[in-house]
Amino acid sequence: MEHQSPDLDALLKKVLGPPPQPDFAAWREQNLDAVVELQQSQQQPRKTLVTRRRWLIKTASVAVGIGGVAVAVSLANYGGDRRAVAAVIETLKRAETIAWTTTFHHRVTSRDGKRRWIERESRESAYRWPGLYREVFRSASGEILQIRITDALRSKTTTLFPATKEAVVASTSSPHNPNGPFAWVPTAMVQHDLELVETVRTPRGEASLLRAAFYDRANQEEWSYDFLIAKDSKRLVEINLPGKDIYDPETDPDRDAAAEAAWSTLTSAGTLIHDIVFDAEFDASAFSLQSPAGYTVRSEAGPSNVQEEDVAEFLRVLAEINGQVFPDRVTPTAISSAQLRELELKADRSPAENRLLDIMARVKQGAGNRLPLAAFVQSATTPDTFRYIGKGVELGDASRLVCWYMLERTGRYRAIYGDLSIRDVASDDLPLPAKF
Amino acid sequence: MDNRTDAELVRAAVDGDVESFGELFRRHYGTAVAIAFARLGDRHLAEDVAQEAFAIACREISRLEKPARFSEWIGTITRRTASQIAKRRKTAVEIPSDYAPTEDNASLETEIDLIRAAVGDLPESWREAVFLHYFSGLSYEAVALSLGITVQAVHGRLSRARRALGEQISRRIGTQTGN
Repeated sequence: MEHQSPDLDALLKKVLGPPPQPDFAAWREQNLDAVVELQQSQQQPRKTLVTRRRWLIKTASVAVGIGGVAVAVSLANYGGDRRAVAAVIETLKRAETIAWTTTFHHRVTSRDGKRRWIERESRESAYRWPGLYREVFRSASGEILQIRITDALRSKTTTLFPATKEAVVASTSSPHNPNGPFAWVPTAMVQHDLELVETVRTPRGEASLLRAAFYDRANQEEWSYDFLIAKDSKRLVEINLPGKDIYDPETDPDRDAAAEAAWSTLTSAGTLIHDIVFDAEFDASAFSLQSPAGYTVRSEAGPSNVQEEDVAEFLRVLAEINGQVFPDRVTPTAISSAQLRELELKADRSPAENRLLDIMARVKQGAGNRLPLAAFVQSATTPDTFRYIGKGVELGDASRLVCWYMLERTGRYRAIYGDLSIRDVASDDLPLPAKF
Repeated sequence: MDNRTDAELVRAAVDGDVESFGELFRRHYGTAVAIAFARLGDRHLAEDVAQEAFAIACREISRLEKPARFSEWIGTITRRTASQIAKRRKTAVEIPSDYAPTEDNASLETEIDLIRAAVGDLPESWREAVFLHYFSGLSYEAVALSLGITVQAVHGRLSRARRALGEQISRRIGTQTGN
């Protein structure tokens, strides 16, 4: 018989005690690092954006009064951000093929660290739905160095070297999005506030420059995207990463500096994606993974040679360099190429720094020039199962998890602990739900 | 009073609004403590676990694919954090459960001790429902949301828990009195 008396209910409440009282202010003080991470996402830039948009609208109103009709008309004819954004998204969804050119602007520092200049590198690219990419790499004089065809759905590539009539075929995880090169654009346009900066003249007519400015939490810096949208067709014609508020190739102080043969560091100044053409016409063979007749075909092993033990050793070294504590994060990268370059040039490296370079050299070729952790995650783990929570974990603490992942070949979760032991772990035992 | 839904609060928090996360904290702290208390049997430890669970949630909130299920999500994180801590404590020190009566002290048990022991003997899923409702004061609907089950299922678990508690208490009283 059920003991459903009010007495039992009252007794239960008495036994279990009074309910907990949430004290967010106290929790916030104890967890400032988590709060700061949350806080630094987009609040500040958004305030700036609202202010600037209001300024633009005010200016337009005034401009009408004193004859600045062009400005007011351009804003009025624009028809608002939402319709243009919707049109851009629709075009991206429907495009069967897309062609574009990417120009990478690298900021290079001289060997003695005293001078800088900008080096540019262009790549012609094309996409055909579903998931096929074609990239053409040229020398400074315009000669084609290689053509790479990628099937991003099946993770296969064929790289052609016209000068030597060689073809390399590989099965490897692709850096390309199988949903298209600009699949990220709709999310970026919807996720961030867009500011109408100005109208610009392009070779193909007038375009509106929309800017999304935000705080990049992963890299802890202000960042922005500039989207140029043709006024007549409402199609995306150009993307600048970052926007010209951060890097403007036309006004950057290093733009005209002379290049030198010897250099010490190379960083990305900006990436310009331009001459975007939708539904461009291509011959079917342009995206074929079959090597052309007359080419010598070589097969390249796709998966990297990085093992779990290499990952553990890599994490050990990172912790040793970080004062015997695992680093706060390992994404987007545990150590940048600029930092690695600095280490290589450093005269008095610590034993841990030397071991880091040894690991890099040992795994580099098989890892396809990726860092050991990235190579392992991309080649050996099930996508989106890798999680890192090593922040604050001391090297040697066997009770603390540093990271976990699902091994693709076994379908089982594995975890690396603070003492660098590697063990099977049940998904229920992980501090975060595997998928929610 | 903030009338926004959990989903709206989660989206605002993902955009960096700390106060929105604070509202989520206030709404669901009781859930997290109840679940941890049900698992660990120690209220102070349960509050520590709940606070740690919210720290994890704060860092990972952008990964929550279904914002409306924040309550269930924080419960899952709490459960797992509590399990990890329970394992660490077992390895380090054998800590007697608050719910473990022994033959020696059964005769000294008060009614409160009897109920506490009986609660400890409940299956975990019933025990969680008991803590969420009787300790944190959640309604049946809120308990259902936290556990990801229907309101009817909450009714069922609490009914079965009360029945089991009644039987346990009767059995223990019988043991004490020798009947």
